[in-house]
Parts: sequence; C-alpha cells; structure tokens
Amino acid sequence: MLEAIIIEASESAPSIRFDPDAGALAICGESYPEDAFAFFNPLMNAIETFLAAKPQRFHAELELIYFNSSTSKVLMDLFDLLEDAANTGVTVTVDWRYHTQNDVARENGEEFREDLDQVAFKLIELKD
Amino acid sequence: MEKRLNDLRKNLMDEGVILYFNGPFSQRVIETLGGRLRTEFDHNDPARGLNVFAIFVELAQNVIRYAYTDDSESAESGVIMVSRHPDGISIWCGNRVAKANVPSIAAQLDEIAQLDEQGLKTLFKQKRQQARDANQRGAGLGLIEIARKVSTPLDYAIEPVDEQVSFFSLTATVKE
Repeated sequence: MLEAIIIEASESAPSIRFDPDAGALAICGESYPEDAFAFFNPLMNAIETFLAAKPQRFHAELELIYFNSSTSKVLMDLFDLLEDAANTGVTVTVDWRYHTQNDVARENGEEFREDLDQVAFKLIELKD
Repeated sequence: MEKRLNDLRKNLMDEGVILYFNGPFSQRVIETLGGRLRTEFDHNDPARGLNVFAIFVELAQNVIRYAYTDDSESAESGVIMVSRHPDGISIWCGNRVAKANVPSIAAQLDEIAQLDEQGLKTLFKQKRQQARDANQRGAGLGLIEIARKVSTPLDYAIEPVDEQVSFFSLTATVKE
C-alpha cells in the first residue's frame, strides 16, 4: 500500500505532493537542492511502484520557477517513466505551469514537450 | 586597515561589482547570496535576473562538488564575483581543482566552445538522457547549461598551482 508523500517547500527545494489514491502529483517552487537525486529519490521510487501496478491514469502538475541542471536530469528521468507508462496504456497528463514573465520556465517546458509523445503535456500560462 | 577596506570597496564599486565572496561554499551560502542577487534584478529585469541567478547556482554548486580540498583550506572553497558593466552582467568563479581532473574539464569546455545554440541544445538533451554515473554528484550538465545562457563565449583559465593542484576560473557574461 503506497503512502502519500507530502514535502513542504524550502528555500532551495520545491513542495511535493504525491497522492497514490488519486494518481496525482504536484511539484511546486524552486528546485536547486544540493543533491537533487537524493532529494527526489523517494518520490521516484514511489511513482515507479505506482506505475508498475498499471493504474488507469496519472496526472502531474509542475510549477517550477527555477530549477538547476541536476533537477532537469531528474525531471527527464521522471518523464521517461511517464512516457513508458503511457506506452503501456496508462493515461498520463502533465500540466507545466509558468508565469507570463518567466521565459525560461516556458522554454524549459517546451523543450520537455518536444521529446514526449504519448504523454499529454500541456503548457499553461499563469497570467499575473 | 579601515582605509584599505574603504579603498577596496571603492575599487569594487568602480568596477561595478555587486557581489563578491571568497571562502567555503555551502548550500546555505548559495541560498543567501543567490537570494541577494535575485532581489537586485527582480524589479527591472526578472527574466535576465533568473539567468544570472541560474549561472550563479550552477557555478557555485560546481565548486561544492568538484573543488579540491586538503588541510590548507577549508572544504570546498572558491571565489565568486558578479559585476555589472556596459556589455552586461558577468559572473566570475574560481576554485582549486585536482590536476588529474584538468584534462576532463578542458575537454568539456573545448567541446562546448565549438557549438552553436542548436548544437548546445542537442548536447544538453543527449547528456541529460544518459545514465548517470553513480559516483557523480551532479548531472554533468552545468557547464552546458551556462553556455546556453551566455551572450559571449565562456572565458576560462586553468593555471597550475603545484604538483597536485591547479586553479580553474571561468567568466560567463549575460548581455545587457
């Protein structure tokens, strides 16, 4: 039985909410922890376990104001997991949320979207 | 000493230096100094501020991961400076490195120097897709990330210090 993951945001790490019952993930804030792999490892394991049970759907909301290159690698690993799951029939949706003024966030979202096929990846502009 | 401090301060300000730190780097140092950098840019140019901040974080975290350490200096020490000038904003960073690592650093920078915007994007995506070396503390993407944000080619130098150690310094400039 998978447990929910709730981590509050800190100065250099984002908030994380993973609800295995709803198949829902939200990551929000800044992400430049000293060791991104260690920070996201429990979440990645949990998502891997969740997807291995062949759920019907999975939805992720990502709203990252800034993230460092290590986080970028972690996100890539996450999207690889999601793409694999989508290829086996899981309905995977991702909302990439960014503020109008944040060109960097928008471009990063666009770049991730380029490499995703079965995952329904949507860019959502947040107007201030 | 007070007079010399005042002179130093004046020199730094005349050079447009808005941040200067020399000492042991830590995550806390990065958060605090980085936060200071961000407020400097928040009002007039948030987009460029974020790029300057990103370069600062990548360079500073590289110091934590790769700086040479021994008993003579405290752990993971380096120097970082941010200056504002007519051509833009420059971030300068330097730290000691093990001589054994110099060829790898130089090779990465040479590879990056040959690439245009599209080439850097391709290299970044390619490296990001690769399996991570378990010994690596970072993703090996930091220098490429920095190269993608600058308006002029990265300027760097590697100077020998003694038999085991060299000093690596790099300057990244973001256009006005």
